Amino acid sequence: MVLVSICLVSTVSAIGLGPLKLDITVNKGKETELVEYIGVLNPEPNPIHVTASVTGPIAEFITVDPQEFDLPAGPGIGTGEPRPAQDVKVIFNIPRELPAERYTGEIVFTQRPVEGGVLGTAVQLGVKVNLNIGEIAKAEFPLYVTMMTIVLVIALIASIIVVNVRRFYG
Amino acid sequence: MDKMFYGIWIYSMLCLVLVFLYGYYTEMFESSFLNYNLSLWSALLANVILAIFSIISLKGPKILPILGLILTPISTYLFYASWTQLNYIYLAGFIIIPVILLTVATVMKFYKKEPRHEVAPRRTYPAEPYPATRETVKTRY
Repeated sequence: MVLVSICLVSTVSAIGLGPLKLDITVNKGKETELVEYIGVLNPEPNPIHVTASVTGPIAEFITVDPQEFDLPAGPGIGTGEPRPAQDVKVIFNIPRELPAERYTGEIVFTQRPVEGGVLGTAVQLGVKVNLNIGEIAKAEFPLYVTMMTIVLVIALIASIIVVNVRRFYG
Repeated sequence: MDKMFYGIWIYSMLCLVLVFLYGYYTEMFESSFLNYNLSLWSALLANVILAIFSIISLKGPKILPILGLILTPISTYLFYASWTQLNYIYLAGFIIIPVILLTVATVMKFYKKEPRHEVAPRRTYPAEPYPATRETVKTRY
């Protein structure tokens, strides 16, 4: 479910964001790359320019793509027509050495005036991000690793049997 | 040959222990020493043992010791990379090395010609002279 927030500044400008909060939990000891998407839409009948930035301790693990984009004029609030939108890719690059802690931050979308547009002031709206690094997960071997471990055990036993049989029967 | 065989056997056992520790006590490899975590040092320990056995077995047949010396650094890297990158393909590579070494060592030991114990040749005595008879014996006076 996508939550859409409408930010209203005076009576002329608004952008929609969804979701408004990202909660990510990963296990420690694993280099993780995660991708989430945030939808940005423009319901207002004016074109807007949006820039995205990341604040807080989480900033070093997050990349936002695109960081700047334009949205054409929308149909206006209250109309049922589709509104121009842009999906912003949020890439989490979590290094494996990161201690098990909770990291917070915010992805801030700033709506700037566009030439020829009505908007005269910059508007900011943020998406809160919580990154929880948990404890190291117990390894779960795929079938091929389990099978190879069994082969190793068999090879160990077989080698001893073969060598002793050879010695016994000479 | 015997030293190398038992060296490979000990090494394979250590590899097996490392794989079980990886599976059931994953977090134990997290503690680090000299900027590298325990996964590197434990894999290195097992492989140093193999390298020592390889070096002291160089006097005999050279296939296994050389194979052991070549595979030692590869095995260490595979275990370390598997743990740090959580990639089980590397772990499979780490496990296959002792399997290969064990197979080669067992086959070589099975087909090795054991030195035969020298059996003293049966003594053959020259044919005895025709037994002397009263008639043939001439007594000289």
